[in-house]
Amino acid sequence: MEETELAIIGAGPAGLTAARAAAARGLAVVVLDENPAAGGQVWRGGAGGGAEAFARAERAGATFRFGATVWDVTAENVIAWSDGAKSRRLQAQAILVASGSMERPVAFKGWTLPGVMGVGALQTAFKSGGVVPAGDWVMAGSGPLPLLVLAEFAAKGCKPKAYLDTTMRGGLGGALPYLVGAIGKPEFSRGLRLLVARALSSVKVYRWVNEIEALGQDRIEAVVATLGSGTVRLETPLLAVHEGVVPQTAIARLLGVEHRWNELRRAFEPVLDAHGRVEDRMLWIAGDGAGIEGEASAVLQGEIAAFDIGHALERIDTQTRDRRCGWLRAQRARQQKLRRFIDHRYPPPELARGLEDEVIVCRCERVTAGAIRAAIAEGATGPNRIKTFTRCGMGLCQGRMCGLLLSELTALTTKRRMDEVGALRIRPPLKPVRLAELAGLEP
Amino acid sequence: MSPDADLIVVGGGLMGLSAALHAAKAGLAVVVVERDWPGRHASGANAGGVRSLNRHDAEIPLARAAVGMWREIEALVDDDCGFAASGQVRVAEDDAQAELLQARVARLEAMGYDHERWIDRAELGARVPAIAQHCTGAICVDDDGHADPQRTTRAFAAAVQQAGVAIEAGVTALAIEPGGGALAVSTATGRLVAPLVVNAAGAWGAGLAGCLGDLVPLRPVALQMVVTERLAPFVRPVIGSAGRQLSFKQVPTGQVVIGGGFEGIADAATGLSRLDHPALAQNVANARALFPGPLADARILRAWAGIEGVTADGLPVIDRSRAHPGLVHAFGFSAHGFALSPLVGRLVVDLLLDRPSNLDLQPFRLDRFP
Repeated sequence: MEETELAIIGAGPAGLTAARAAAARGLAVVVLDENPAAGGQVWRGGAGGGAEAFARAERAGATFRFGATVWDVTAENVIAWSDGAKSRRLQAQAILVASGSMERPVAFKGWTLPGVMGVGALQTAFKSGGVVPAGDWVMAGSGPLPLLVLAEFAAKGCKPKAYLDTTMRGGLGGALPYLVGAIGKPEFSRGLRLLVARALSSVKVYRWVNEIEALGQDRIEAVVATLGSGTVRLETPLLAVHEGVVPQTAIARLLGVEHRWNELRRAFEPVLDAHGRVEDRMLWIAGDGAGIEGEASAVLQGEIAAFDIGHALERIDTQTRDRRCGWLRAQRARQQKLRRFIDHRYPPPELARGLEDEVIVCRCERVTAGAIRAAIAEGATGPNRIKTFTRCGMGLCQGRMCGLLLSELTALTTKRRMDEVGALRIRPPLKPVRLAELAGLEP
Repeated sequence: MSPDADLIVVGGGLMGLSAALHAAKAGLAVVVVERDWPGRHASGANAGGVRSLNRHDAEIPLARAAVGMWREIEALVDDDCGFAASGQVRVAEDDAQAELLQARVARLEAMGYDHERWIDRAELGARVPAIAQHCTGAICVDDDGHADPQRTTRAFAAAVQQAGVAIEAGVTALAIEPGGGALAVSTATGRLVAPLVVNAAGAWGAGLAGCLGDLVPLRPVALQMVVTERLAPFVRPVIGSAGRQLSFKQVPTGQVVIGGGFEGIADAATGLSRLDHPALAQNVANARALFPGPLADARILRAWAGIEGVTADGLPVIDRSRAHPGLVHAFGFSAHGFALSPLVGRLVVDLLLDRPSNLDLQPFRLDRFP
């Protein structure tokens, strides 16, 4: 089994920064990422600071393994991963999970039809392959990302037919007290605002959309949006939806890390100390996987974790760590102020509220909200029991798509708090792995 | 102190539920206490094999009787539990294994059993066309099969509740103590008293038995299972091998469930378990060796390990306590109890009520352990 001092899962902003900072202080660092290249989501294809951060981490001596699908992580810090042909294992003294975020999975009538996708997935396709949907498409959702993607695509001459803005009324008012802290941050630069404004001015925008439904036989043909003033029907072969992002918690869940429900962000977040460390473990979590704070904060968290890991491995003395981390944490606090504004400006939807019985919750096993409510009525009061009753979460995606919705639906139906309801237990493999890859595991 | 019930069953797994069901049918007032929920551990996490094939001699009469009950399981619990009489097959992968298996069939015939029979390579190929070419034959039992463990546990739990039994889930039994002619089960939330108690606490059974001086060498074991994505149907019977650890079946969803007794890492204190990667790799390699074609590109969706109690001799304890006649132990089924569960409840109630039984429970007595 290969051994290293620090294993980092994820080569996005947090992972790359941590890899550079730790390797620069002499730690043996191995970075695993399932993508073919560094960058993660926001720095995909070397965008933003990605190319430079990767180059600096490599120069500092970090080893990178791309196309590496991590399928298990044990309490003894053994990472089992596959390169697509063969499984290998890596024993690390410390592990940093920097697996980032995923789009909040949203369920509505027709969401499983081909042609309905996440805005993030659309952007990923665009960043990695340059696929731009030609003219005739509709975007729906809320938050900064749809606006950015809108601007990005409009600049390429591929603006959507319409933007169905699902941002709730009152969001802006509620966010105003936090605006002061957010002003002057690069995310809200004048240039970007102008770009977004220009894109929006040429796209038909429907505001206060409170419900959407995708229609079609074998794939989406139209979307119907319900607004305060009635409904609007738009013919479209493609609907991109986005309701914000939530932390990827699968690895932390697998490792039994305690999570708490963040009501404002409507997401589960791992419980960590100020350095991103899991109490009493040689395990750290940094970046959006620790709670959605965005790219700039992820960079800071990556470096904070690297210093703390260096300290735990006795390569960095306490004074050096505290001095550096003190400054980094002050920077991060400023990013958190900005995030508070965004959190209030774009309040996330309650996924389960008003969900009709016929809406599919688990796409892999085609389990409807009605089937879940029936299982609850039969006595399955938690996500894991509902899973055994209905097969919800037993499919190819391992509950990544339906897990949050399942918990929210359970909490709403049984009138309990999210922390009480909890989440689906995560079983390895984290991602489907071929028997051939597993059978070929190195001893 | 007035009793809370006629009978307290400790353990809401299949054995406990089966005992509660048979007891309720016999007119007893029953309470079940379960530390998590029915089917949380071995009852829900096993492979669902209904097998009389290749049983230990002592278990053959029980297994045959149980298979008969599975055929009519709907009459017992008002659900078919996903039971399919698909047959079970144990292949020989070389001539030496073939000889051993044929010798077994001959030995069983001499004992008066005719449920196992030898099939040659041609018949094996006809029954299981996807089996690897090197297999030289097999023994099989045609009316064996498999059922759905989760569905079975739910059906038993529902039937038990239908019969008026209360299942106290999330209640951990800490000790069983005799007192005033009755028995008390102390739990984290209080004491329950009844003249009769069944200890069906699975991997935790020996701890409770030990309270009364009934010592059973029992090891908590996390048995690993793997399930693949859905595949086109390619095998009907449950497959094992004389030469390797394997239990292999394709369930109605098309998914393949692979087990075989490979051990993960069990923590009985927390009830959690985790996987042992090299064991998992070996388990999967064993499956691929028998079905190289259909599994060439198949993916694994999930692997897990359920905690089960394995005794020193691999046989369960089904016996009255030496310390108190009102207590009956039924645990330590050592990873092959699922098939027996409909029957075990009846055996336990026979013991509780001093009813005669036509099955020999001598091999499952406590006093075989010094």
